[in-house]
Amino acid sequence: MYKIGFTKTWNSWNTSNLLDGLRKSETAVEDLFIRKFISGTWHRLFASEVIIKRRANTIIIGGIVVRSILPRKMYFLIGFTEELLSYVLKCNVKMEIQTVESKEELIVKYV
Amino acid sequence: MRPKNLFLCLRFQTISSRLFFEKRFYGIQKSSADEEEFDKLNIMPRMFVKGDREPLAKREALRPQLTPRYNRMPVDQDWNSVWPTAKMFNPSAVPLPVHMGKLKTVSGPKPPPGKFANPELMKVPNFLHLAPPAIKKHCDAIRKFCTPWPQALTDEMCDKYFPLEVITSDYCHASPTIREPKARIITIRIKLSSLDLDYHAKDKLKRILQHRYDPKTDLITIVADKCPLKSQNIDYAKYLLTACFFEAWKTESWESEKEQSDWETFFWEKSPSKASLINYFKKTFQNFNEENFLEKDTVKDYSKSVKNLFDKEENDELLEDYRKNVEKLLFDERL
Repeated sequence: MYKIGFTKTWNSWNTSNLLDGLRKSETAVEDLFIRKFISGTWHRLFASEVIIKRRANTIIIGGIVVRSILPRKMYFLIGFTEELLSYVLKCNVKMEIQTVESKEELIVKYV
Repeated sequence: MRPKNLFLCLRFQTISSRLFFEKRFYGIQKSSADEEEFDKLNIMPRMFVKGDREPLAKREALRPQLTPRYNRMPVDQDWNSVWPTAKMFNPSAVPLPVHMGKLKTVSGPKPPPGKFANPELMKVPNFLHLAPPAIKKHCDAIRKFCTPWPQALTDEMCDKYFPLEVITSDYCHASPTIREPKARIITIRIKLSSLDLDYHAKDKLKRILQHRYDPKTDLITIVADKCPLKSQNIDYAKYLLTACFFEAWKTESWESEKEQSDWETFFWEKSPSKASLINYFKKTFQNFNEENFLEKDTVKDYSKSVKNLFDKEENDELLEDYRKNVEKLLFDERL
């Protein structure tokens, strides 16, 4: 359906992927860890892929979340994720999420 | 305030807060049948009354929904306060019909998906925080830290008073480290003409510098990357330039052994061409004065054309020039 880098962009945005980028392997492993952490912490809540952007010393985690839990719990999960990941990864972690009513909203095409 | 008034005021406050409390927790219900009738006061808290509350799903459905934020935005709002810094795309805050992605179906291509629930829009970096008014605001905020460029300091003045140019690079990465090994590499540039050198020193400096001197732009370029730090490399490059400069001024004993094959350019003054010319005129004319002879324009023209023939690529023009000058010397010269 999609061609990555052409009609669909990457899920990880950082400068390590560029030519002569620093910390290539570390960044890849960290991204893997973040994805695993999110899938465990936000269990069955993420309707989209986890988007990880890096800007200077900040890691920004984004994605689309299903509104199947109380907003209060969602706020707790945001704080929990940011706090724990910033301790683990030794840099600022921010979460910027969007919410949808159900996972079906992300479906754009039926084959 | 007098005590009586204060008392009244306090009483009013207690009553109002109690009313609020009752409304919140006991639910003073308004009967729709008769507006005149008093509201029914339920003493029992609602959570203990069975069958009183609607199911959660129904309550959710009945709850008045706010219109989306992008619909409530005034046209002349301050966009900078809506989107002050860089952040991921948020459809509820952007009053624009944005589309992103690609849809290709069996029946043909379809318009790209809209802004809602579209992860593609979240992935791409957006510049919604960099609208022209926002940039203007930033500029106005930092303007007080800037001073105008001195009017008298033109580019020519800069070249004259600050001839040395130091080029450094800084790198910014999206990673927790601020170290970059490439940042240590520096370049210094200076015009050869801005150095105080005589002919010998200039020639020697060019030979010492080799490819670091560019004759087209007259620029000396020294790149230093030996030391681990930027400032150390700057110091090292300056040291190299200084060392080359003073080395160029020295004349070693072996430099006198320079032969014609070592000449960087043709020196007519030292050449056999001059010797044979003088020899010829000495024999031809009795009252030959060498000093006066060398001052003459014909001799100068002749020396120039000989030098051109040696230095430049030989062509008809140069040969013709040489022929004319030789004729002038031999046939027009009357001492």
